[in-house]
Amino acid sequence: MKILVAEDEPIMLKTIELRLKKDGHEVMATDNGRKALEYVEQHQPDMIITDIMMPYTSGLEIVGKVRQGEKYIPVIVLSSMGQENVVLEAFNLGADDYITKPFSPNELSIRVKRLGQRM
Amino acid sequence: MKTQSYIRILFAVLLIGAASVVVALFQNAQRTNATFNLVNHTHEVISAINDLNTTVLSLETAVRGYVITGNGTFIKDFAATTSSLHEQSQLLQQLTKDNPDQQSHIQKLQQTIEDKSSFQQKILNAYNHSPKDALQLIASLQGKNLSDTARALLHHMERHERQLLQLRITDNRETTHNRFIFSVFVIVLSLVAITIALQKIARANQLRAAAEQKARETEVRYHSMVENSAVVMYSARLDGQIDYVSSKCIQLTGYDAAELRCKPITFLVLEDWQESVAQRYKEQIRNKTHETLHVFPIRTKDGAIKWVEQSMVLLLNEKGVASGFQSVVKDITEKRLAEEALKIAAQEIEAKKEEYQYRMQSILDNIPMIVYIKDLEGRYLMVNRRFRETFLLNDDQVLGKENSEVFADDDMARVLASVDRQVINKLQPVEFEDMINTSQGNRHMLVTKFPLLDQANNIFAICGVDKDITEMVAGRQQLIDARLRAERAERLQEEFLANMSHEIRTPMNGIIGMTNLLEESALSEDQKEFVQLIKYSSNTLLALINDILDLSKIKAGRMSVERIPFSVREVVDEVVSTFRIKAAASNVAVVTTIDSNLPQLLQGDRHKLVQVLNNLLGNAVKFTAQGRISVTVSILEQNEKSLRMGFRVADTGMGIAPEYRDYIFESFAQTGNDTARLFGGTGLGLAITKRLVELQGGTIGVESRTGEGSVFFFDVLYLHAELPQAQQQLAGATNTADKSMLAGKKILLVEDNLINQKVTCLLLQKVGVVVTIAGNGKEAVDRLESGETFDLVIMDLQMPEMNGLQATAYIRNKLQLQLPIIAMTASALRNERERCFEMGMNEYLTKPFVPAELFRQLCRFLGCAGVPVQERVVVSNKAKPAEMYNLAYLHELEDDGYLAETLTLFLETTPGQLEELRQGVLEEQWDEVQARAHKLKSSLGMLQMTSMLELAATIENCAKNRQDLELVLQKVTRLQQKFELVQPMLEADRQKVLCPQ
Repeated sequence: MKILVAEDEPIMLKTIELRLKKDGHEVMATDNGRKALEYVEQHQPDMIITDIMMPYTSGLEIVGKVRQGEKYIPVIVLSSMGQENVVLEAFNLGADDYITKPFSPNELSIRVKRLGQRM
Repeated sequence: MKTQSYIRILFAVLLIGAASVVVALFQNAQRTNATFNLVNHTHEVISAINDLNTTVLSLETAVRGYVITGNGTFIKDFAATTSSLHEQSQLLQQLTKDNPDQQSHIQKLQQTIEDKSSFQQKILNAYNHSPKDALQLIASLQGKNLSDTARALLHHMERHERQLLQLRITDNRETTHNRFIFSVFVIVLSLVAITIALQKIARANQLRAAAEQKARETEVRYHSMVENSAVVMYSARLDGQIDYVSSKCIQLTGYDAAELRCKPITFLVLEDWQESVAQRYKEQIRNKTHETLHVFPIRTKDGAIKWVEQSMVLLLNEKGVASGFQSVVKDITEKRLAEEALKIAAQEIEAKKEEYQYRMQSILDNIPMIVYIKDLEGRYLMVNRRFRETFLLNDDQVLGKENSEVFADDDMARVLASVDRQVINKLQPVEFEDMINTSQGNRHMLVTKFPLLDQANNIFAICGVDKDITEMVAGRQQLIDARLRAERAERLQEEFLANMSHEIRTPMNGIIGMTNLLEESALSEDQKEFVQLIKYSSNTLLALINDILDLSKIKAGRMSVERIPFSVREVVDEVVSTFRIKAAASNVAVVTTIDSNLPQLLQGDRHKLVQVLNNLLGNAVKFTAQGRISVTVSILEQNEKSLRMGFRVADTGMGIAPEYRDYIFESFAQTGNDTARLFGGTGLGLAITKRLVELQGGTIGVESRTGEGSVFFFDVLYLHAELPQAQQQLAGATNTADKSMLAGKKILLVEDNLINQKVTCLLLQKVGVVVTIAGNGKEAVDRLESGETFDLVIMDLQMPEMNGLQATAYIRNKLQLQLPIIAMTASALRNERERCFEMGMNEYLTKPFVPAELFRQLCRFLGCAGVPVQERVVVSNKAKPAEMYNLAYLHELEDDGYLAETLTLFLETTPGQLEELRQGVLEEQWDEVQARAHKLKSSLGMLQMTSMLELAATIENCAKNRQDLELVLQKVTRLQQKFELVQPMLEADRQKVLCPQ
């Protein structure tokens, strides 16, 4: 699958990128919300994994924008400890799943696979 | 009306009925009469017939008789009878002339009679000739036949008559009956009609009566209505003269009805108005307007002016000609006043509103902040003057447009738009700082955007207020800089203290340690004396250094108070025993009295108690030439949590002169310069003692009399010890540990200072300990990692490469070794003792150390006679420390390259991030702090650094909610410290991945 990952923390980004690449996915990793949205528009990924808190463009905005688009792209949001209410908001906007940091990369891998199967 | 017609009908019916009855009756009577007549007639006829019959018969008889007898008497009346016969037949004829049948009979009869008569005549004639011929004639039956015929005819006629009679009677009866029935019927009908009519009339009367009653009542009501109504009603003639006024007029006008009657309509109208009022009504008459409404003032009887509303109705008669007026007058004075008042009020409100608007506009335009309102799509609805001036835009360029159209900077527009969205979504104000390009260049703005809610609490617009805080920021920056400098100064001071402490104490340790060793080596008498002097000097120096450092520390607020279990009794005994010998030299006895209720263990600062008692006893011994020194320990008060201990050190020495008594607790104060020279001492002792006591929540004081002695008393607050019984035994541990048990034990000494190494090493080797030396934490860790085993580690704290805490962290967390670690340190950092225990160290000693103390500790952990081997953690209140990090997640990726890269990245960037975080806190940039803390959480979480993660989360929360901000800095410090501890271990891990061996 073509997966877009938006995360501004380099270690987290690298970890996710590596994990997904190992699973055989094509990964576009970016730490920038705006670039992420551009990528969505140009490349129409099969899945989006995005952090919620990012400078300038929040993950919620990305979810919102993606839902406005034509194609239905499944979205997983990455939340931090103590951000449960934001997760709810994400779901309201149309996110499909969430995973709380810190998380095991294996767990992420499984979730991605399951979400991909569901679609 | 109906009644009348009813009556008419009734009358007619009655009339008809009566008439018909009368007619019927009359007819009946007539008929009866007729019938009666008829009956009579018939009877006459019948009698006539009978007579005739008789006559015929008699004639017959007469003839017969004559003939037979020849008697002439028989025919004597013959002629008369024959004429009467004729008469009778004429009569009969007469009687039946109306009946043609009978007439024909009569004809026949008359004929017969004629025949008979003529026959009889014949007979008679015949007799005269010959009686025999007569007889023959009679015998010829002709006569008889004729008589029979006559008789039959008569009989027939009679019968006929009788039938006729019967018929007529019957007929009459029937008719009568019918007529009678009819009459009865008509009568009944009439009666019924009468009854009905009467009923109807009665009812009609009733209704009318009722109606009349109602009308009367209505009339009454109406009248009373008119009279009682709140309005005045009157009627007037066409010429304007009043002819009726309701009695209410008196209330309205002051005049009663009588007074107003016959007055003109305009009588009450206010003079100026009279003309116009009169005009109006004249016009009404002219135009035949049905109703007019007119408002004008009137003057009442007592001269007051009232306003009335008059409704005037023009009355027209049936020809359509005006005949008069009818009017209803309402007193509207109040209403009018109210209206006036309302008008005035409305004007006032209007004026106020204008004023208000003007003021609002004034506020908006004069406010030294940029104010603007945007609709929910982000288009500007209103901007104030400042806005226009700042951005050099006028309303046309802004109103109705969005940010992207107004400002050139796309990024900024986008950011502003997203903030707007936030405000709309959250319905909460949003505040942020940003650089905004204005006509005066880039200015630092504090932007506050908040939702505007309507009465239904729905958002209808966003309002923004921008404040130029460039100067403020600059000022703030200065403050921050000042604060940074202050913080730095504080840190430097702390570091200085710590360093100084370390720098000074380390060589002191060397000197004293060496001196001790020297003392125990083979010396000549002179050398022994020299050593003693060196010892004395160095001890003094050490004491001085300690005092200075202590006082500095206390003054800098860096002195912390321990809270560990210890035995007060033990301390007292220890200190006293130290001085007993010295006192004995002056023949001064030292006596101790300790409250028997004193608990075995209390929680507090042992060291400080030692210091204080040392100081007081030292002074006592110094200044008491003879007599005794008594030390008393008592419990002043206690509750379940704490206990206040009182101490008294009384001596029989020289005492303190009154003038000095107030100053002795001050630094450097002594009772005169002589004293200083005579008795030495730094003069700091009591000052420090006082502060030490006060730090522990106690007070200190003195009573003294010159020449008699002094009593120093102080109290300290201790907490009850929490440890289980088993630990109580520890308190009983004595100094008389058998050091021999230490022989053969392997101790790892981690110390970077060569001299200290030597000192400690030799000391230990003397009792047979096998000492291995590591120059720093790294070496120690390497040794342990490589598999070397030791019974105990003595760890200095301040070392290069890897310090004591880091090494301990490594040993406990990474190597998972539980062997006892004793910290030995010259540094005096705040909370250092705590941190050592937190890290997993078992004991903490300060340098220069007392050898006996060291041995005691060693015995505790290695097991000597008289002292049970201690479980590792005695005083630390933490269980086995939680692991500081876990690379499990990283390992999941099974990629060494990734692992190394990640660890490198983490180790390289985190210190910087932590420093930036610290910077953010110092600058009070809480949004920055929040963001940075948040970011840290990511990587900390990745490496499963739970306690650090929690710290970062707490910092993030505090920054986000702007709560407990004073605590954030220390949390950041702790975070940095924890990172420092974890660093070497991660380094080692990284090394292992990069260069696996």
